[in-house]
Amino acid sequence: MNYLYRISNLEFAYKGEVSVFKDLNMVIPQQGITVITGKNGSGKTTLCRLLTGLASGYRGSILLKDRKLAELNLSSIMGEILYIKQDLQGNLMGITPSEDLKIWQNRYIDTDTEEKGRLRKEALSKLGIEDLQDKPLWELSYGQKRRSMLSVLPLFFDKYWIIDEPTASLDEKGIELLVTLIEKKREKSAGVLILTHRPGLFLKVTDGSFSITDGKIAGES
Amino acid sequence: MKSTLNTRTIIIIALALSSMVVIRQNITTQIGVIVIALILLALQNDRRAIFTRLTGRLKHFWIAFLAIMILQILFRRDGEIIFQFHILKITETGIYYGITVALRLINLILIAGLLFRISSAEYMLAFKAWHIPFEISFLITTVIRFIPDYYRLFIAYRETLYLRNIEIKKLSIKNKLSVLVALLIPVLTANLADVKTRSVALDLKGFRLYPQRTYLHETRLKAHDYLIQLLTMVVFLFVILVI
Repeated sequence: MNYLYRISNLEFAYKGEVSVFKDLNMVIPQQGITVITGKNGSGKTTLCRLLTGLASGYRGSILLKDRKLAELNLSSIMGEILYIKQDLQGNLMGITPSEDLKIWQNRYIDTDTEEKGRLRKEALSKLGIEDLQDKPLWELSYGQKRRSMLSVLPLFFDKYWIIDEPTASLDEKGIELLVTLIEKKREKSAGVLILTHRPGLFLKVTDGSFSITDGKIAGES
Repeated sequence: MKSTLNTRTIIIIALALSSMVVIRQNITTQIGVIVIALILLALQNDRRAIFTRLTGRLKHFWIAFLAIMILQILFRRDGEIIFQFHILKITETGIYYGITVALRLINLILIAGLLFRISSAEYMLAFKAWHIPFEISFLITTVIRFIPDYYRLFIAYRETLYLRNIEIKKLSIKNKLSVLVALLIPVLTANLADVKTRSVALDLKGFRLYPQRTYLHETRLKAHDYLIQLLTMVVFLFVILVI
């Protein structure tokens, strides 16, 4: 099994606060859908932040494809990973969903093309919000904003996705569209890491799951 | 060790210290205030955590300290000349004021650190004890609460750029401005929405509905608070009037 992340003896605490992880060990495969569950405050989001290099100062080791994560810069990590945070605020840029995707695609260094515009429309339609593409973000509901955030996923199909609580504020249709997207990714033997309170929603696409309790892996299947 | 000082005492100390560093432009006062502020911060919080947080905060500002110090050194023309090259003139006074201004900025950040550790409820109780109208104290505490909110938002959006692999340093000025606009619009709209939510919450809580408010808690000054407040005033007057 090719692994994406190998986490060994991970210990982490926010400055001056109680520890989040104590001797956490896990291997996250490069292919397949991995689900991590855990109660509120168990450290799921912290784990995302550590895996993506947004948080540092941990003990133990995190390897990303045999390379020490601590030695990689954020740019090279983001070259392989697409991380969708849990918060709505701070995840969307620009004025409209379409502009947000345009920023993802061009990063202010590439020029926009008609093809990219077509891909944007397609991505928005996969989350059922193509008719909202030019609507100001502040006029969208929480669920619509969540869909807008997730619509970036189809644009980066080749990257490994890490999605933190993707179903928060999504309606049934939104969840169904997201699961369909993950199913397609799975068919192509690509990988996704989902951190959620509602693992049951992803049951039919889950290849492996972990449960975090008291800073350790309490269960694995 | 947790602070045993009353909020009112902390506010009085912060006011006195910040006034001293602004009024007395000498290195001795600035260093003295730094020492006092550090001691107070250590008393107010868990020492290790506060110093880690402070070094982090000061690290963000060191370029600003340095820039302001250099500007002072270069543009102060009075005093004994130490070095001169064409129009470039470095004087003793310039160096002195450069260091003083940098230290003053450090002081203001340290003093702000003292105030940020106080919760809005504690501020409310302190202002109530001073008989400041609730509308005014509410306004002040709201503003104080917004500052860390803005800081968190700034961090969140900096991360947004990282996650999108946007390296702002490598962008042209035009594109940097575009990034700024793209980031600011959601921040501003989010804040406007927040203001709306807060105003609704205020209405629901019956803000200003009754002429008098009741408070569940009350803070009382202890003997050491009176002593420290008195000592603060004496030191303040001594520094301002005598030194």
